[in-house]
Amino acid sequence: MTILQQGNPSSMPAKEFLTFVLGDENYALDIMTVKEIRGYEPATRIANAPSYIKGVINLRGDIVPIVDLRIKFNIGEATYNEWTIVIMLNVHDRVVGIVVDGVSDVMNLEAEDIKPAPEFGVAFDSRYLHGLAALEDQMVIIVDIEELISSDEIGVFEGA
Amino acid sequence: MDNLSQYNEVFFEEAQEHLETMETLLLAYDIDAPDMEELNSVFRAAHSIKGGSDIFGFKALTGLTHVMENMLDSARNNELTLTNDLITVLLETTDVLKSILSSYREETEIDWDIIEASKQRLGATLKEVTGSGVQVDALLEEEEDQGFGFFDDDEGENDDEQGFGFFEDDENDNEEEQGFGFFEDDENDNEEEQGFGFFDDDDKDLDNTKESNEEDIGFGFFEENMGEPDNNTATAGMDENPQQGDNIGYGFFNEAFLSEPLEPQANTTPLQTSGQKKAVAKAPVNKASETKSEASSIRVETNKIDKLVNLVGELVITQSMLNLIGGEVQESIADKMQSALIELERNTREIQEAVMSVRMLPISFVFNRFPRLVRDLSSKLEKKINLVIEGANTEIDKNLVEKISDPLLHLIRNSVDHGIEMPSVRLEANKNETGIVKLSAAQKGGEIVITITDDGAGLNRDRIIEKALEKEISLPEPLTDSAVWQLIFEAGFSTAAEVTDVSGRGVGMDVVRRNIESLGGRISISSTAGVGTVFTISLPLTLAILDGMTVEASNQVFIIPLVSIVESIQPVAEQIKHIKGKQLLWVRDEYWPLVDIGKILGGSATATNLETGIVVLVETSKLRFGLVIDSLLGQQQVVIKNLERHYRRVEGIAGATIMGDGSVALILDIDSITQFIKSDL
Repeated sequence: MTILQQGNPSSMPAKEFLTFVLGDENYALDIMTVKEIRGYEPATRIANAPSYIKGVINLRGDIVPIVDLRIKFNIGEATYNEWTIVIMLNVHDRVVGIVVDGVSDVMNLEAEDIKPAPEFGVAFDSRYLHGLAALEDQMVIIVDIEELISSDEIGVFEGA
Repeated sequence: MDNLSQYNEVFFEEAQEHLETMETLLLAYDIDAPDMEELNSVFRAAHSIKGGSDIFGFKALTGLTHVMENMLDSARNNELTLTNDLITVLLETTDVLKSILSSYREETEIDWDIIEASKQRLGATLKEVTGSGVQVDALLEEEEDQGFGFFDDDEGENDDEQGFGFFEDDENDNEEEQGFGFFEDDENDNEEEQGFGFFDDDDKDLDNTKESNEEDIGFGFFEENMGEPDNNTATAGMDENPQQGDNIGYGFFNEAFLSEPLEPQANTTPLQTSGQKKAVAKAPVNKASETKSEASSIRVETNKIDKLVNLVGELVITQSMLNLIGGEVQESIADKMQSALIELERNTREIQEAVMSVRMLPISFVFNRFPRLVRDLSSKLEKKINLVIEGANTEIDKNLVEKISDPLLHLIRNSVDHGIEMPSVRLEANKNETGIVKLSAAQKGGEIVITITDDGAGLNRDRIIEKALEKEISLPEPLTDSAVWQLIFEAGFSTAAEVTDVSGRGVGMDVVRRNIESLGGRISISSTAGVGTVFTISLPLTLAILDGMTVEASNQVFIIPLVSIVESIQPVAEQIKHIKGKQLLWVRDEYWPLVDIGKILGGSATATNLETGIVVLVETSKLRFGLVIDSLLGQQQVVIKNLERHYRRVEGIAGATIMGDGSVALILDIDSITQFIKSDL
């Protein structure tokens, strides 16, 4: 994370985050990692993959894995309908799709807007968190999505 | 210096190519009837490497190529006759140069001892050949005397200055020719030979080619500059004389030369002046005659091509979707729609073929390295062997080019080492003293067939059987010749050195077969005692496309590579046997273990009752077994997509492909599925 200077907020380019919904919790990830947002389409199952890896889809000629974060972190219900959203991410030169319940907004956050996360209380291991931010009345959990997706825990990439 | 280092990679590539050119030409060099044009080409290649390496500061390359170049130059001026020994040493020198080049490339330590040793060897051989040390010393010493003049002495400053002069002078439309002159074989003739041509000084013969005159000019210039390390003439000359226009490359040197008329060179000035004029006139001629072959190709990054292939794959899918929709279109425009769709289909197919062909390279890229191998091996083994190459223009996929090289190398080495007999043995057998190893390639349908034929002694059937028994390898039934030959592909044979001495073809043949199979190819042998042996390799045209059987299991579509399939059957009750509760199939007088594709890859078992399902019998190098599926969907070519690009490796899966409807289907890796059987039984 770049540390933003204080004092002249209007001219400071605040970092942009895409907020998304898992169950009834609000999350946000660095918008620079987002490749595109698509609707959910059935994926081709892959043998011996954990249940949260839905399989692979054809993204314009690339074979791309789809991870359902709701299953992985056991938040909300893994239903698939016309509102189910897949966020395609660029992570370490690879493309991965994550299934979420919906995307809500893009928000600008300055460094000082992000408060440190508590050690527990969120579905994710704190290693994958940047922190917490307040958006109006709601709390938004800022995810370090690159770290999370490339982690052993998700296991999408070999030897990651 | 940094502004130069960004071009290092280009230099490496070019130098590599030059070295390969040198090697090829040297190998083809006919001592009895030397072809001057070829000799000139070898010389130019050496020259280009030297020039380039000097500018980029790769001193180890510069020194050695310099010596080589002097020798070649003497040879092309008929002052020195290239003998077989000299050619051998020159070839060895190119090997050393290759290793130096890769040291620079990989930024490892340069082995200066090897360079020195190589220089010594060149000198020693030269002495033997010429019988007098005088000329030799001259050839070898020049380097020390002259150093590398201009560039060598004040490398730091001048390189930078040249960097600006060459690379950033936008007005100069010949920019490339100057800056990168040495990358383009054809154009550099005029420019480079002036730039680096100072080695040719003992050549003052008026009758000699114009080139030598140019070189003399170069010599004068550089020699002068050696004494003046802080020389700005080069840059100044260029900046102040933009009107020199398209011949500024020449003007650069010329200018410098003229601005220093006092140079007391041994060479006579009038001669040089006339030489200059000739050289000016000569430049365009040179270009016209030599650029042709080079200009017809360009270098493209592979990932750009991969992207094209991907996009075309997408286009093909979109096209087939349109086709489906087109069928539903109603009356009035249906005909128009149909004809447009047919047009589109044809166009997409042509684009696909064209894009695929971009990845294709002539197999000569592989074949060209074998004349050297055969030459070296046969002289080492004291055999006489003639390597014949046919069909070197046959094109194969670039990826295959890289991967087929090792197995071929192995097979040729085997043919030379074990196939072809010693000359005396051959004479006794009423054969020509010189053995023939023939390497040929041809396209047959969707496959490339490569054969390696030798007219040697053939495989020794009895010895192979004996050895197999010794190694406790079970003998095939019935013991036909072809079954016996297949034995040499068994892993156990690879260590049996003594077998190779008698019957040949032992070392690592299992590896050869495995490599070829991993490319989706097959290898077979035929051999007749006393007549020779033929290895036949069949490979798919490209690694990007695969002939597959589309099947369904557990509501999912899979592709089985066609090469592995023996047959597909619907088993009847009598064929189904049981062992420890597991089902086996009795087909073709063999028991076939079964693998349920749905269970191991799909998530739920396929057909519970084998009699309603279908079994695809497959074969790998290790095992034959049956794949249980629900139904066969059809046979089709599929574009192979790498699963590991965005995901990890999956056991049993070789990759994925995109079907006509845009969905993803997985391609089975028959080899790695065998492990499911082993864990199962």
